[in-house]
Amino acid sequence: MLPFKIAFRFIFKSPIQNLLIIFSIIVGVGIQFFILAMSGTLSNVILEHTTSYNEHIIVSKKQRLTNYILPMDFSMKEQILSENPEISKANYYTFDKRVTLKYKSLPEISFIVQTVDNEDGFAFYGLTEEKHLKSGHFPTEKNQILLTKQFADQYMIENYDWVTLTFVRPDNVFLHADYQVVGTFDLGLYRHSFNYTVITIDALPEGYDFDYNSMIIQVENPRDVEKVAERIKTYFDLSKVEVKTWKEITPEISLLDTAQVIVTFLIQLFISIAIFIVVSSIIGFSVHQKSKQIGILKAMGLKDIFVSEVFLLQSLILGFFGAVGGLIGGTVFLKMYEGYMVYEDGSPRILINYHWYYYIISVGIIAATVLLASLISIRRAKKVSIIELIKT
Amino acid sequence: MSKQTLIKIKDITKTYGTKVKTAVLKDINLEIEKGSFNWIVGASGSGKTTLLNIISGLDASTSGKVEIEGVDLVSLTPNERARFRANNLGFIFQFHYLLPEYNALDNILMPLRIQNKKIDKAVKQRALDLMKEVGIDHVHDHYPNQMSGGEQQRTAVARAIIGGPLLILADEPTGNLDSSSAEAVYQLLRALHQTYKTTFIVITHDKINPAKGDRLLTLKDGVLIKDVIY
Repeated sequence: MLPFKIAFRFIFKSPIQNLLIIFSIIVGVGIQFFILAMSGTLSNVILEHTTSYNEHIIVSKKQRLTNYILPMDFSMKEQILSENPEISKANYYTFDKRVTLKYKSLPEISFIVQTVDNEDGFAFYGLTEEKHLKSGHFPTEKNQILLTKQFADQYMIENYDWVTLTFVRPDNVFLHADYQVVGTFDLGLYRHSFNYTVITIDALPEGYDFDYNSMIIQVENPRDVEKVAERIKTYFDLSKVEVKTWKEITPEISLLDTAQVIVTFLIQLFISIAIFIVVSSIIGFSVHQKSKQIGILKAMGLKDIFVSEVFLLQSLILGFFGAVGGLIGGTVFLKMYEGYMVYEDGSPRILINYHWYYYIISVGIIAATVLLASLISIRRAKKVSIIELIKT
Repeated sequence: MSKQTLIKIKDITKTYGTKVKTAVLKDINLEIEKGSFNWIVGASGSGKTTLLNIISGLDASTSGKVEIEGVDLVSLTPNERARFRANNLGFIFQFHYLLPEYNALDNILMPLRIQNKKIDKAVKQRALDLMKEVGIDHVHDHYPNQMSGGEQQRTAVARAIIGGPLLILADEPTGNLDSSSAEAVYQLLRALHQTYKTTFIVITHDKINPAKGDRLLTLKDGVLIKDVIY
């Protein structure tokens, strides 16, 4: 109790100096929190924009094995889903790029049809969520499709208009099928192309020599996709099938994500070093300033451990107020940033993720920095004899 | 009734430096009686303060032994030494060395807090009574920077005595005071000695009336050259 009382007395008797320490901790924690939350959010936004409603793992036949057909074993799909809780969705899938779309008198437009084995595939691509539906309604009949809002706007295709899709069979026979556009969707994500739609196998034209060429999988945490992919490999004959992750398919995105993590770490490291230098200098100065008091107390019989406790408690008390102030300041600053960065309609351009993890890490880094700085100063003071301390 | 020995100092030497050695104390042998009032005098650099620091365990001797009530301070661990100081010794320094963060009353109570004693109303009243005794009850809530030099030193005296120590060590307690304040402090120390029967060792530069003490020890160049008992 005595070290605590002395620590409090030391703080209140040097208010300006201690406010300076608190202020430097506030700045440190605030910046740490701002950078962590901002970079974490941006990293997640990039990941979300590139991996959401998209394939995280693709199991497909090896390109050279043109005659090999991926076994369409639905029990295997169910087994994979049940044995791997990290997998959120799995579907058989065909990716057909040789389709053209004909609308009214416009020239034929190159189009992609993503065929899934059942309606779960719509959920896989986010086409069952109301928020993505920009007009019309979800298809209720086999010959109804949704188009991307961007594609429909570009070619001025209205809801309930009819379009003709032309498929090319492997033997180069052309198959035509008419589909009614019943709505438009926008996932709000970055895409290479918006010329695509998703249909189920039974919506394909009759006579189309169809086979699934892939199994597509989504996982709960796209960053940990490799672990799941390794397990998925055990279900297949890898001499005929290859298992690829989104990181292998779009390595630049993965690289960008890793680069962001490294840059954030380096910025945090440099800020921690800067805060360490500032805080250790001020605390060191404070310990030096109190040398005589330390000497007097030690001469009167206060044990070394209690003297250390006084300064540690002093640092912890200042650190506590600094950390609380820093977190509040950092949060307020981020809120202001969110409010400033808005689209024309007033909606925020970026929604910061105020994850508890960012609060804990920011405080943890600064707490460690402050403690280390204090311990170094105390250690230095402990080495000096009582007589020297009193003479100071 | 035979007098009891409180401090036994045997063959104490203190040397500073490794390449060039400077002997500050040379073979000091001394016994101090319990309840006695002792002066140590000598010129600057004669080793008075070093001797006091070694007796109190604040400094270590190069060789020799100091025992207080049969306890060899050198053989104690730093924590045991700290506890021994807290329970048995009171210090009065030349520059009062009060804690600037505490008022006079809290400064006086500090040794009791270090001894882990409960500070209740009765203890506070005792401290206030002691302040009255040393003539500073009117500044009990003043901080050191709000007190005169004499008041500060009286506070330091009250702080040294409140814990009921076996021994009070005073290192030039009047070195920073004018002559009238210095005389007043000496009178106070003598009065407290009479009242509390505590052993005092007082280092001084000032001309003193040795009859106002039990013993006068004179140091010169680290050697005890004169030992007069009154």
